[in-house]
Amino acid sequence: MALLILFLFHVAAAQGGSTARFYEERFPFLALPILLGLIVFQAHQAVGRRRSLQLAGAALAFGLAAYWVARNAGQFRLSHGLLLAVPALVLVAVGFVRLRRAGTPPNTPRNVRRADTLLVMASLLNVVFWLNPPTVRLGFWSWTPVWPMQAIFGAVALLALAGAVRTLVGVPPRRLAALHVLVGALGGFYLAPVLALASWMLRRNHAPERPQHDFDVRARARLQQVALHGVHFAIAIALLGYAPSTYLKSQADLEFDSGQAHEVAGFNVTFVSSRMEPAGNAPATTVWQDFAIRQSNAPPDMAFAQLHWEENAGAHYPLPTTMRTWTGDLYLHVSAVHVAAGSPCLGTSHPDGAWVEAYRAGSPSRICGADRIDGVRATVAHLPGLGLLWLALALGVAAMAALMWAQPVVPVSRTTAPTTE
Amino acid sequence: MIPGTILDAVAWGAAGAAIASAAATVPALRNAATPSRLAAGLLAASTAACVALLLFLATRFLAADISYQYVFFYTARDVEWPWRLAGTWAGREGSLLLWTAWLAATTMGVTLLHQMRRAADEAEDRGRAWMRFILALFVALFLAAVATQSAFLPTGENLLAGRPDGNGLNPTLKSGYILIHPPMMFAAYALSAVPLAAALGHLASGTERWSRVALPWGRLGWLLMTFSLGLGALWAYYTLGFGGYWAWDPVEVANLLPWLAFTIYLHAQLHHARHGSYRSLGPFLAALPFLLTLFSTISTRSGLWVSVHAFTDPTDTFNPDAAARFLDILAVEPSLSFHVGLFVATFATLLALWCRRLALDHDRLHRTSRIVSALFAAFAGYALLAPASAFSLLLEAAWQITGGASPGLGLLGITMLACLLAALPMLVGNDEAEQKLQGAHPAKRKSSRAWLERIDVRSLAAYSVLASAWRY
Repeated sequence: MALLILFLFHVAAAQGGSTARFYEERFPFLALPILLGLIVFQAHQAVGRRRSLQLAGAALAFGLAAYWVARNAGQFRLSHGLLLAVPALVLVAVGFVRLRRAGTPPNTPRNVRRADTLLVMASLLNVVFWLNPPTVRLGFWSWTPVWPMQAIFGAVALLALAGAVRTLVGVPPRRLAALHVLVGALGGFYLAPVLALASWMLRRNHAPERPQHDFDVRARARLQQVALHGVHFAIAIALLGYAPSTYLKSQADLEFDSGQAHEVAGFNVTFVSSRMEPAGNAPATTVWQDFAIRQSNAPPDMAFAQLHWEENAGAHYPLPTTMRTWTGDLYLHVSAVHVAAGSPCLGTSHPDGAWVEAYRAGSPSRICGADRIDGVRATVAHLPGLGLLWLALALGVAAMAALMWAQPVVPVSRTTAPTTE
Repeated sequence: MIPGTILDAVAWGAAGAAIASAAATVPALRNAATPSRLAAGLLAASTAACVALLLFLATRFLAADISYQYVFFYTARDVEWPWRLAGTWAGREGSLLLWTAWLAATTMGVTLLHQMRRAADEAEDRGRAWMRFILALFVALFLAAVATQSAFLPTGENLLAGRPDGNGLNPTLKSGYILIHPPMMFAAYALSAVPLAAALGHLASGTERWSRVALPWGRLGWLLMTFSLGLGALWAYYTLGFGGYWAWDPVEVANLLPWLAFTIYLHAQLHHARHGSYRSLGPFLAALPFLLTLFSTISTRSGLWVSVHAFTDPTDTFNPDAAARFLDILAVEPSLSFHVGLFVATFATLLALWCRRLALDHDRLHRTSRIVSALFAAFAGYALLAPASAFSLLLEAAWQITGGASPGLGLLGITMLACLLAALPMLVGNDEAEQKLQGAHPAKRKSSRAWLERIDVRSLAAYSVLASAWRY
């Protein structure tokens, strides 16, 4: 039915109308019964049928209450987001508990259980941090991890998560202390070191109780269960990430003069300057627009949007720029630039200056290197919680791969009586 | 420059080898034998030829050999080498070749695995043989399409005169993601054929254990499709500039449909393995991912919808009605006919075999199902031979049924009609009731009360919703 509904939406939306609005307004209502069903399915083994139903009921009640409050306050988008986010948050919590229970071997001491849980939580924080890392500041020192450092640290964070999952299912790596140090050193949201330390303190007296370092059948079965629940956990995280990044998104279409600033979602965005490649009277292949972005009292960061020339279409096309912040991504997309009056190329044919729009072939079309840009039109969007989506993607893929590794063959069906004609 | 006719002949030869491999598999369908050396050898030759064609095309792109028209359209001499390589799958012909190569490699992988690992019993062996047989036929069909939609036509003089260095690649495609996202998506598309082949084999022969045989491939397909969709979202976020990672773009949704179908299939199969449920519906669910990958390919490559994947804004010239637009595109784009024909033919074959299997397994609707089955089979053949005409026929029928209101409603009508037809066997698909009746007296099994018991209430509810939606 879900497939059919999606298909009919697809056909109907493709016949006209805004697809984003068409889906976004309906998605929370469509996802709600699926989320509630998943809460029941995930929770009933851990807390029993009645409690799982109560939990789903509570998630529904809180979701609807949040929706109602936000809607009465006139926040329509927020209300949709809350209707999705509240049950999704409950599902994430339930999913994590389910995953932890499925992985922990029987008769594991309570402190070890807690320690392993903390280590997995710290590792997850590391992954979500390094897949979408914001600028790290320590006093005067600041560092914005970009490719390839982001990929290297992201891979290390995923490896540390794999180690933490191994520890959870009772097959810890030989150097457990080193794993704790690594998880702490990756420093996800400054919380990971604290969690890793707490984990080590809790399990330091229990380490010798589980000397197993290779996967036996039971450990493999536990890993398979963790992977199975991990896939569902990833989908819950994806839904949780979708809610803020879609419904709590702040977006504005703005026009900037040179040096002018606008406020978007608490960020001060200033259009600083524009430069062309190549310089001179030759037609420009790339037009750079430099923006300074400042949040509260922090020093400004620079973001560089671009307009490129596309020979075949005879038009400029834009490449957006993003700046990762602690609250989400700031996304900047230039749709047009204004060539100043009197500029050597376009300025001569347009004495009052002219707007050159992306994707539009025509007159005026191509900027040349000596033209002066004195204004831009840009869409600025703030997308909170985006890192959760990349975490969901990484987790979903890794969990399915682990599932395939841990259980290559499914159990044989009970109804295998061959049918003959 | 190797003439295109020789390269097309290689594709035809590979298609022939795949058909011969399928023919060599026929004895195994009855004897439940492991893959014969002849069948495996022919398939290996077919796969090698297909991969060689793909590699040859890739080398032509890397060398910017614009004497081939397809290379001319998707690259230029001043394009950097990674984007020259990416041009290989930037257009319809190249992506079809890539898909075919993955499909051939998957079929070869399935065959090798069957040779290396013994089946649990004879039933599984028969299921495996049917799977290889159907996959080899699919490979042959795809290779025939590759040969008819040649990527190796020579470039016209007028084209070369206009752009002597080549047309170049669309700049939004010049991203690292193009090197991973499309190949991975086509690998997932190819893997979706494995559950379909296993399901068709089960329906045709009644062999069990088909889900056990297909499930690991289905999981791998899900994995690759998930990763690929995620990479597509990243690509859209960093390059396309629509302010987010997911815009509910029609092509994005079209690609989400097979992912959802994969997810449904995996859950149904796990449930089947543990509880024996979804016995009747399982084969249909296994076939859906492949059918929907065909649908998403049609959506992506036809320019049917206004989409970010079209890389242009054609709204000014678009016919506002999707169904009419689709017929217009089919008229000028014969390359799409293959996908449309394969979609309709596979769907009709599936329904034909499904009706037949239900009739055989459950001793019910016997005569009616036979007739419906024959009708679907005939339509499958017709769609394969004349896809546009078959589609027009369906459209005309839907127009008539919807009162001729609009072609758009007609398109919706076709969808709903297909869903209604597909849901028809599901209506009497209550396996639990059937299992209870298995040991009953024949008179009781044919009683009206037994018929009522067979009706699955959940399916009836779903059917009612479908029927109401269709009327609406």
